[in-house]
Amino acid sequence: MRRAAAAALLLAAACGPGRDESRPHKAFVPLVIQSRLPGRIPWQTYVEISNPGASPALVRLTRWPPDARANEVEEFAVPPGPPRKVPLRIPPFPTVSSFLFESREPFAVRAVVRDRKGDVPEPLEVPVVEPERLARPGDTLRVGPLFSDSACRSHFAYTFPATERDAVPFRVRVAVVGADGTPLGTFEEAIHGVPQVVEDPWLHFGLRDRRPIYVEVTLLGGTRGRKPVWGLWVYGIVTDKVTSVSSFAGTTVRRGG
Amino acid sequence: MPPPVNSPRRILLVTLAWALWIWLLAILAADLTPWLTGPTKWGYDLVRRVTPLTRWDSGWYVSIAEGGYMPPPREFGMQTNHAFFPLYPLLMRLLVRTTGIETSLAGNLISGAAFLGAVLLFASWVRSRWGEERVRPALLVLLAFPTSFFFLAVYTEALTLFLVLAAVVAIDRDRPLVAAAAGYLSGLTRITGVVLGPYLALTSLLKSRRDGRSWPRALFAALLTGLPPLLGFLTFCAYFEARFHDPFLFMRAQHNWGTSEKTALDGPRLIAETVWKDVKSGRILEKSPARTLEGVFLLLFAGLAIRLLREKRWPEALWVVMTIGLVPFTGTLESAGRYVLPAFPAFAALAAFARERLFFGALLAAGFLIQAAYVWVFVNWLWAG
Repeated sequence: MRRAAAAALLLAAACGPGRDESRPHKAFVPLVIQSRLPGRIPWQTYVEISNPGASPALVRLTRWPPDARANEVEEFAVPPGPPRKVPLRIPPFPTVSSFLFESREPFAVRAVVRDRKGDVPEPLEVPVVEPERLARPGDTLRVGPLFSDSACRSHFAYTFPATERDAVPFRVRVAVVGADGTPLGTFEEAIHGVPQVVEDPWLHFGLRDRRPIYVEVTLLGGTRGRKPVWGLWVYGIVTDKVTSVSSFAGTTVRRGG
Repeated sequence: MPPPVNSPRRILLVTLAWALWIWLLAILAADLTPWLTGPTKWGYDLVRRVTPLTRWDSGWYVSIAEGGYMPPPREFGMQTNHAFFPLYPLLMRLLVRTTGIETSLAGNLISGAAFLGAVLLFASWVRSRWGEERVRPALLVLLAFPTSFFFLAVYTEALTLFLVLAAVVAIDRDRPLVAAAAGYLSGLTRITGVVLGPYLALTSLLKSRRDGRSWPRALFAALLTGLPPLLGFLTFCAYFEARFHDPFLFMRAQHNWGTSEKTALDGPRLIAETVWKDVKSGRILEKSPARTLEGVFLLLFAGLAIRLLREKRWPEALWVVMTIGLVPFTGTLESAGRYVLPAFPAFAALAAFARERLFFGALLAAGFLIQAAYVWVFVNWLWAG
């Protein structure tokens, strides 16, 4: 009996973080970056949080990954009134981070990616996602269309909040289809511990033809057999090669049960 | 009544005590000297979650266990995980999927279990060849060897040692199927399996002749015993051929990590050039003591192979020679101290110094001290081993 209790305790300790039901208000920012590559546009995500209520809201932010362990979880009070800036505290690109905000009180989050040295090209508004929308095992995320031609380049990324750090690596099945619905290939891959960018999907999947594509990512589950707390998100970005103006490709969720 | 001096229980207790000591050191090294930590290209998540005895090449095993083999390298310099054999990460994956534990911890558990099995087999093997009095010093030498902590790390050393000993002890005990299975699996564990065949064949041949079998029967048995490690290796090559259309992708992947294109045949020349450069620039002790020590380990094992030859322990000498003979083809001495670990007969030969008690005690003390230093720098990303 004592052994069973000890084993259960160990298992519970090993199972990592679960859903925090005590903080019903949540927001997931799937893309937070800070690029400092020489000769490239210094993109940076600017994250703002505001409190629509009448009293201060205590908000918990979990960065994944942060620039240092001490900055992984941060709690701060957001007073009512104008939005306040959220410090990034993330590693530089090519690492891409995600932010998960949780609070007992309502709050609003806005995230914008823009050139740190100016407003040209125009800023890119990051779609803030409710964690409930993230893909659970069996669900499929469809992203696209993604373009790679003389005018545009595209990339996509797998991203998830820090709550998934004990559930990853995720196994995903990726179906690549042409804009006309032609199947171009099905692949399986493992998504390891932090958000991952696929810079050139055509090269990544070995597609000879650079025709417009949709990427359909089905979350198969965690390789360690643990259930995700919230799940996986995939976003795609299409960038104009001349102006560097970017836009998010649409992401839709198909629940697979 | 206390158990006999070299009972399996006592051997396990001594080994467990040593393992606890190494783990304690590793945990302290990870926690006490963060300012000492060297640079790593590992991602935040991996650094955050892995155990302190998971560093450097361990990351490749974790990646295979979690995501399988990557797409093959498209160009020179592109680092991929194909240089690593599949059995160990496959066992890690099985353990992870059945228990849900963290992948590197699964690797440590497999290494630890394999090493515990290996020390029992090692004791039995030493007893059968040198007698009871050699068992304890041989075990102490094995544990005190500076790089022996790799037996507990996420590396294949422990599993290789276990499988090689399982095969050779099975031959001793007339259990050819067990020997064949262990030999086959060792061929799937690491490149050392390729040179295991001749050792097992010679061991089998001599055993058969001692048992009074005719030459043809003895040769046939030796052939059957020597083939499985090669078959294991060929299975790995066939898998790579079927999946990546390159049966020797593991070699291409390994050489892809270098700063310039090379093949295994360039290895001895590259090592000679490095040694010559170190000697010429006076860096032997000043700036490259770790590399020098790796060379010393290699020379030590070469000397012990000669000692085994003089004692007419032909199969054992052959195994030591072939194990250390692989090192020059890697093109670097950096990991020589780790590569020699499966050459277990050398530890038994080194234990002969137990007769000189003072010297032997000093040898063990020096071994444990260097080992502690190695654990510290390994855990802190300062030395890859």
